[in-house]
Amino acid sequence: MAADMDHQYIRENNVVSLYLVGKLPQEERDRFEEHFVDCQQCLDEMELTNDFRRKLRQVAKEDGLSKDNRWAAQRGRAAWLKTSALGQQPRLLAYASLLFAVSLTVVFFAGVKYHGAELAQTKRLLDDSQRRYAAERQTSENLEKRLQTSAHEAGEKPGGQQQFTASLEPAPLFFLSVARGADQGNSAPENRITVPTTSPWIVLSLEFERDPDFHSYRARLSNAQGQIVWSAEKILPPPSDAIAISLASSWLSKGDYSLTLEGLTSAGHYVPAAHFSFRATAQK
Amino acid sequence: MEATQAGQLVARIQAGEKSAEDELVQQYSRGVSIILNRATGDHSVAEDLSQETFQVALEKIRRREIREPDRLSGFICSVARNLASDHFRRSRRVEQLADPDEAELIPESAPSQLDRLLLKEKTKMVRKLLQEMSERDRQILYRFYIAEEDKDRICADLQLSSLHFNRVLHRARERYRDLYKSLNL
Repeated sequence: MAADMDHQYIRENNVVSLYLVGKLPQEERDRFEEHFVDCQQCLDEMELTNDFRRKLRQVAKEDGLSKDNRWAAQRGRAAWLKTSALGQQPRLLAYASLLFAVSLTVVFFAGVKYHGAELAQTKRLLDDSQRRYAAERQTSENLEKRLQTSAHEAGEKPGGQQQFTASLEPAPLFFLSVARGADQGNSAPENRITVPTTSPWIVLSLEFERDPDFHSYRARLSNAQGQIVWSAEKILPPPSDAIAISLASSWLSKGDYSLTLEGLTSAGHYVPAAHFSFRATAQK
Repeated sequence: MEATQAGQLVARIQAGEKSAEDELVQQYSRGVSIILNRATGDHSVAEDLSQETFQVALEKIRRREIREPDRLSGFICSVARNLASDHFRRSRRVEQLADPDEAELIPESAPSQLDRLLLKEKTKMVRKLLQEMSERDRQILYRFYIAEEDKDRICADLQLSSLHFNRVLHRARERYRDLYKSLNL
């Protein structure tokens, strides 16, 4: 790892946790020690992470999952990982063998019933998808008809065809890659976009590694003065590792911009998902 | 500490300013303690070596034996590491412990009644946090922090990218921080 040992790098590479569990390579460990030895922020982070790790171990210990007790750990590990098992005491394991025998019988009969229910559920989903597809197709056909009508009307007016063609011109697309390390500081952003004078809109494709755990995203675009230029919430997770957003060209003037993307977790909190920065220049 | 501030602190110590020496000890004692606990795995040894580190470092600074005053942090770290190595050479022990479980980097003092109550609250907090997480994320925490498996292995088994793995750990820590703050301590 050749990057500088700054806070962004430390956070992104999980350096604190790796150091605490003794998994940081020696060269990097030395560099990190030289950084944190007088860095109160990192020292606080280490205390918090270490405390978190200790309490996790405490919980695991209470649930009979000590690292030293491998036999118990293997038996109890699967149960501990299930939400329902958390908070139960290891004495429950005493009932496990009895429950196991009963479960075998139940599972056999439940299996037959379950597969029947699963089939019915799949059929319902299929029917639902077919209905939605038909509705989408109808909408699409309607839009096509309206487009054709508009094109026809525009063609009848003098100069209308030209005007119509101009409005349908595709908006320029710019691909933005995630800003890392120094890019978030004072250095010039790697991403560059040229704001067109001919198109009222531009499209930004935000390339990032999608986190399947996020339910939705929110985005915020700020200028170099920190003023929010645009923001949006409830952006649905994309099927690929990119989110496309469209912006009015007039919102962007010459200068540097910062775009943050945050993901909504299952716990209902927004956490940072990606950060982009770009420099906008005017088209000559 | 910025390089220029470090250089100024060294200059003040060399000028005989006592408060600058206290400042240096205050600034670096937490970090040095963690480094020495990692290197020795023994809190009492680490405590002794920590005092020795500052003694040696201050003597070298006063004698102007510090070559790059701007790199004061690196200098303090190397003094601490050298003392830990010397300690092991003297006691003929290996430098690192085989089991990191024994090496708690940030030592805990004997718990008071309040500490025990706090421990109980924090444990409850961790259970709450775990319940909020998906089964896969719990598995990541278990395997990394408790079973101490390698990150690469966990990522390969769970088909996760390094970035995603880091995010899960980061989110868990942030949630723990939020819950901790909600205790209003």
